[in-house]
Amino acid sequence: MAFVEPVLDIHDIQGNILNGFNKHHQNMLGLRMRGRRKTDIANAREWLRSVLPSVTPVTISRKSKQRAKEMIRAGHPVRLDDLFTALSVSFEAVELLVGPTTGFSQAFVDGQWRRAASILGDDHDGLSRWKVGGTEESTPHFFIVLAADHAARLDAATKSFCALANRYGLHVIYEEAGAVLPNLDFGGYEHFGFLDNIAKVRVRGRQSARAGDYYTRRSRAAQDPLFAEFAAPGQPLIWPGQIILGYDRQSASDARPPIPAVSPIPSWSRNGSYLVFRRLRQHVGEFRQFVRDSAESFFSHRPTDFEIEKFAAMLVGRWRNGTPLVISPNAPLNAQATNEFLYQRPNWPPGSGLPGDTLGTRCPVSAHIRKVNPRDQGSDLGPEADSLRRAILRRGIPYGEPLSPNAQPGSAEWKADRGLLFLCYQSSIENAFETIVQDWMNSTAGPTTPQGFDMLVGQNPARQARFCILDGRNISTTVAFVEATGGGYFFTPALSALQVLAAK
Amino acid sequence: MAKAVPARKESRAHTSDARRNAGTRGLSTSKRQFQPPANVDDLSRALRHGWHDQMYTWFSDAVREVELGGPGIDPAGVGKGRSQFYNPADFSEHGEIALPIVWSGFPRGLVVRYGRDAAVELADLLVQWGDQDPLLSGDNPAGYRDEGTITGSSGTPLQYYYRPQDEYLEWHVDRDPRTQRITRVTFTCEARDYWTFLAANDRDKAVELYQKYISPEVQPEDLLFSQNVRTPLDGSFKRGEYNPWNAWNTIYGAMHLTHPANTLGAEITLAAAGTIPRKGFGTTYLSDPARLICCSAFGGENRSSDPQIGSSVNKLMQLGAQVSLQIPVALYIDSYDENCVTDDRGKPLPSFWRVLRGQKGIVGKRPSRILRLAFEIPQGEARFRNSEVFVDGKPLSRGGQLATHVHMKLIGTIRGSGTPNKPLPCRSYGWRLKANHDYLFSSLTNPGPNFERAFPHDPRRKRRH
Repeated sequence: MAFVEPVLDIHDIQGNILNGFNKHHQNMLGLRMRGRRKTDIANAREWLRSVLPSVTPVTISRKSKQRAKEMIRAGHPVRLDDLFTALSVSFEAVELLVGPTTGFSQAFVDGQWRRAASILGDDHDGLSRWKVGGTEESTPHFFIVLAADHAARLDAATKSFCALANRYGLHVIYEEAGAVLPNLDFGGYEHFGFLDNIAKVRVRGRQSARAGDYYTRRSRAAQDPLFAEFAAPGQPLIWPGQIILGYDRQSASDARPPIPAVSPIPSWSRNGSYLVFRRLRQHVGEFRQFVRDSAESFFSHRPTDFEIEKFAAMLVGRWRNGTPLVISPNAPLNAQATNEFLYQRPNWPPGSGLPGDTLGTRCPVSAHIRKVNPRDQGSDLGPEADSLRRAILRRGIPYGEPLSPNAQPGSAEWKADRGLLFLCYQSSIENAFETIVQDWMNSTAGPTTPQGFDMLVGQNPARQARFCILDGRNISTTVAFVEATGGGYFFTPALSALQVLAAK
Repeated sequence: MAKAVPARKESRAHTSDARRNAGTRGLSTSKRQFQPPANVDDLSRALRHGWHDQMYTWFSDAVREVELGGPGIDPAGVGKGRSQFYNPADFSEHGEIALPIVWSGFPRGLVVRYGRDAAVELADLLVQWGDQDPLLSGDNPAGYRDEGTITGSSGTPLQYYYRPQDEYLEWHVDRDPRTQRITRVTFTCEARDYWTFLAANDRDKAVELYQKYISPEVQPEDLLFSQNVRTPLDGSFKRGEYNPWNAWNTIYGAMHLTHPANTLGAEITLAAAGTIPRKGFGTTYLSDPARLICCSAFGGENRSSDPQIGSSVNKLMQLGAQVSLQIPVALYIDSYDENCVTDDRGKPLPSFWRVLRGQKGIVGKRPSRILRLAFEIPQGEARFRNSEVFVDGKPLSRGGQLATHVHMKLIGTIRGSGTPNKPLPCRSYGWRLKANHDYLFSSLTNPGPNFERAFPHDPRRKRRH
C-alpha cells in the first residue's frame, strides 16, 4: 500500500530546518529587546521587517547544497559565495510581539533554563555561569544563525547584522563563531575526534504536486521492498510532521503509514519548527585521559595505541572514521562511514550475512550511538516505530580550536574553551530531544537493557559518578566530558509567520 | 511442614481463568529455591517453601505449555522437550546471565488512546469493577468496555475498585485536605498473587505490613471479603478470604497491584510466550515488538511493557539460548529520575524521594530491586505548603506525571546455546484503528468496521489456522 506524501511548502520553510546550511563557518547571534516598552517592541518589529528578506528559505539553501555536491563530485574544494540566515524566536519574544499566545509546547513556553536541571541533567548551580540562556533575562529573544563558506565574508555580514540590530535598539547578548574543524580528510569531525552526524533521517514529502517529485531523492528502485522506508541505504524516511508543524506525523506502531496532520495552534506556526540550541563545552583532554586510563584497567595491561582506539570506539559505538562497531568490531574499515546497520536483526542489510548483536558483544549496549538511537531494538517507550518519533534533524557545528595531540595537561591549550554549538529541529522538544537526553542518555535504564549512562555526552543528574558496563566490566568516572555552558529553546517560524510577527 | 495455601494466577492476556493446582513439587526436586520478591523477609521458613512450590508449579506449567501448547501461549507449542523457556529452580546459577528488560511505568495504552495530557488525568482515577475502563473503552472491538463486575452471593454488584495502571506499576496520591495539593505519591509494583499468598497464610503479617505502609488504623477484618463474592477474572472468594481490592489498597492507599492484568503469573506466562518463535520476513524471525505481540497475542498490544518484554525474550530465544526469569522472580522498579520534580526556579528536589521496600541498587555491588517508592514533600518544607512543585514544567497535580519518570524492569536470564526452534505460524493478526493508526489490536479475524489490517505493506503469509 502506498501512502501519498504531502507537498512541502519549501518556499516558506526556513532553509536550515530541512536542508541545513552546510557551510564551513556559522556564527550564532543572540539578540534581546532593550525592554518591554511599546517603543522597544515596535523597534523590534521594524528590525524584523528589515531583516526578513535575508532569511533563507529551503529553496535557496537546497540549490546551494546541490551546487556543493557537484563541486565535490568534480573534485573541487567547496567555497561558495552564499550568505545564509536562519532566524528563531523565544516564547517571550512571541508574546511581546503578538500578545498572549496559547498552543505552543510547554518546553518552548518554559525555556530551556527552567528545564535544564530537571530534564537535561545540567547542574542547576552552574546555570548562572552559562554564557547564554542560563536565566530568562540572558535568553535571547531572537536567535540567529549566519552561515557562509568564507570566514571574512561571514564576519563582515555579522558586523553589519549586529549594527543594524543596535540601530533598532536590540542588544547583542551573545555572539559566537562556529567552524568546521580543519581536520584531516574532510569536514564533519567533532572535537573528540570522531566523525559526527552520520546517522541521518530523511524527510518524506514532495516538492510539487507531481507524483513522485520527492523532496528527498530516493536512491532505491520503486520495486525494492525497502524503497518505502529508506531514502537511501541507512537513511530512514520520516514523515515531515516529525520535524515541521502542520504535516503528517510518524505512527508509534508502524514506520510507514502516517498519523494525519493536526492544524497547529497558533495557525501561523505552520511550516515552523522548534529549535534546540545547546552550547556544549567539550573537555577533550579529560576525555583522552579517561580513555587511556580506563583502557589500561579494561585490558588489564598497558594498552597499545590500537587498544586505546578500540576502547574509545566502544564508548561511541563507531571507530573515529565512522565505521560502526556492529559491522566491524575489530578494526575500522576504509570505506565511507555507513549508517546501514541494525543491532539485533541478523543478515542486515539483507545479504550481508552479519549476525545480530542482541547482547552487545560487538557494539556495547551503552555505546553513545546505541543509547541515542535504538534502531531495531524497540525501547522502554514502545516498539521500533516509536523510536522514529524521537528523530531530530541535527544542525550543529564545532567552536574553538582543536586540542593538539601533544597538549600538556593543565596547559592553556588544554583548558581552552572548545566544543559544539549543537542545534536540532523537531516538532516536539518534549517527545524528541528531551526524551533522548532524559530517558536514554542520562538514564542508566533506557532505552533497552540497563547498562549504564551514555559515557560520551550523558550526565548523571544526581551529580555522582557515571558508569557503564563494557564487556561485563564496570567503567566509571566522575568527570563529565561534555558540559552545557549555554542554550535555549526557540521556534523557527516560516517566512510567512515572520511577517505575522513583524506586522502587528 | 504445613502446606501453604496457593496463590491465584491470572494470565496477562486475560485468556485463562484457570486456578492452578499448587504445591505439587517440593524442594527436593529442584536445585534452587524460589525466593519472595526482592528477598523480602515477610515469610516464615515454612511459607518460603510454600512460595517456592507455588512458583515452581507456575514455571513448570509454563514450560509444559510452551512445549505442548496452551491457551495463554500457543495452541500447538514447540514440541516436547524443545522448550527454550526453562524453570530456573531446575538449574544452578552457574552459567546463567542476567539481562534486565526495562519499560516506562506510565500506562502507554492511555497515551495511545487519549494523548498524554488526558492520559495523565485519567490514570489517577480509580475504576470501579463493572464500570467503563478507559483502557478498554473507545473503539474496543471485543465489545467490552469494562473488566466485569464483582458480585455478592446474591448476584448484587459490589463496589470494588482497581487502578487503570497496567504497566506493572501503580500509585496512590495523598493530598493536603485544605489545599488539595499533592503531599505524597506512593508507587508499588508488588504483585497481587504474592499478596494473596501472604495474606492467606500469614494474615497477621499482612496486617502488620498494611499498618506499616498504609495506615496504623488498618484492622484485620478490613482486608477480608465480608461475604462470598464472584469476580470476573479471578473466580470466587469466600467470606473471610483476603480481598485484594480492599479499601486500604485502593481508595486509601496502594499496598500492591490491583489492575486485573498486573500479576506475577502474567509475567511468567508472558516471558514463556515470548520464547515462541514466529516467522518474520525472508529468512528472519519476527521480532519487532509491535508485530510480534500482534502475531503471538501474549498481552496488551498498546502497553510499553508487554511488547517489549515479549520481544526482548524472543530475541534471546533467537540466539539459541534457554531463557527464563531471575530468582527472586518479581516485577521491579529499576530506577526513577529523582531530579524530575523542581521548585519554581527549576531546581531539582531529589531528597523528596524514598525507597520504602525492596532495595535500591549500588553500582557494581547489587542490582536495584525496588518494590515500593514514595515521593513526599517533607512536612518541614514550609515553602511548599503554599507554592507548587513542578514536573516537566507543569505544577504537580497528578501522580501520573511522576510515573512517566519511573522505569520498570524484570530480569531475564539466559543459559546455554544451541539452535533456536523453528518458527510457528501466527496465532493472531494485527489490526489498527482507522482513526488512530497508533492503536493496535490483535485478532484472527477483522474485529470490526472501524479497523483495518495493521502493517499492510508487510508480505502476506498463507494462514494455516
